Amino acid sequence: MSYLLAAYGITLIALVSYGLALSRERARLQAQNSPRGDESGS
Amino acid sequence: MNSNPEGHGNAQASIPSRLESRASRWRRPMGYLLAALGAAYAWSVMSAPIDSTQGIIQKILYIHPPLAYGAYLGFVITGVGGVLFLARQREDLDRLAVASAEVGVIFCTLMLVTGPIWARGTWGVWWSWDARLTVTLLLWFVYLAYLLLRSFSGSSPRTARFAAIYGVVGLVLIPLNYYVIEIFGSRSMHPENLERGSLGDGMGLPFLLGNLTLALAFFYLLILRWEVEAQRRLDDASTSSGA
Repeated sequence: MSYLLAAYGITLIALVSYGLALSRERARLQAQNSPRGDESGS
Repeated sequence: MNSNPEGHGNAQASIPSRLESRASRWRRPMGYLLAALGAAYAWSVMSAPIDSTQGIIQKILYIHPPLAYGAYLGFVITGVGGVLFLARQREDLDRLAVASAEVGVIFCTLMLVTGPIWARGTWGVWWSWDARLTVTLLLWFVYLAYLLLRSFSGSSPRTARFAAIYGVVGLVLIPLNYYVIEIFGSRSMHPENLERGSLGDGMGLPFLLGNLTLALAFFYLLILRWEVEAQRRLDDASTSSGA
């Protein structure tokens, strides 16, 4: 049972963490690349 | 929409391209569908019958092969994206190839994690230098090297062309990985490839839902990673132009 939970748990945590990291990176880059971000020099 | 003359290829590229914008529009509905499908998948795995030979650990079947198919899909899209980039000189297709390679490597890594967990529970060992396992590890290294190449060499047209060819050549390992069990026959420890009717009663639905859920998760992450790649190139272009 513990092996089964480990397989599903690791997969779920890895995919969700990767998705959240991508969302954060996209938001950061969008803010940086937006015209307002350029004006403020950030 | 941000537009940027990157100067690569034979046309003034805009970021995101029309194809990228169209794909992005699908991401949110895909997320809702993924949540619903994920719940149905979890329920089907929990209520699936317990295998009489392997016991409960056999339920790794509903996640391990779908991860493998996701990895194959990622590498095939990398290869196809690379070929189309070479043919049409469209940078959005190169960005798609990079994004797909990364998501494919994530799926391949998880396949290489769940496989040994299953092996430990059934074979009693974490790893065996079986033909299927060895070729899978080689496949993982090939596309990991692709990602290293892209992260250290930037996004110059020359690097993109080299990476496109590399990504296509790496695809040779996918049919080899799939059919290696048949080549090695009884000497292979890994179970045979699944065929129609080879699953027991009540095992078909969780297997189907596992494949659908992980395929949807793959495309959701692919589009998200593609958006990130587009923003990174935009950022690189504005930095290099001194904006």
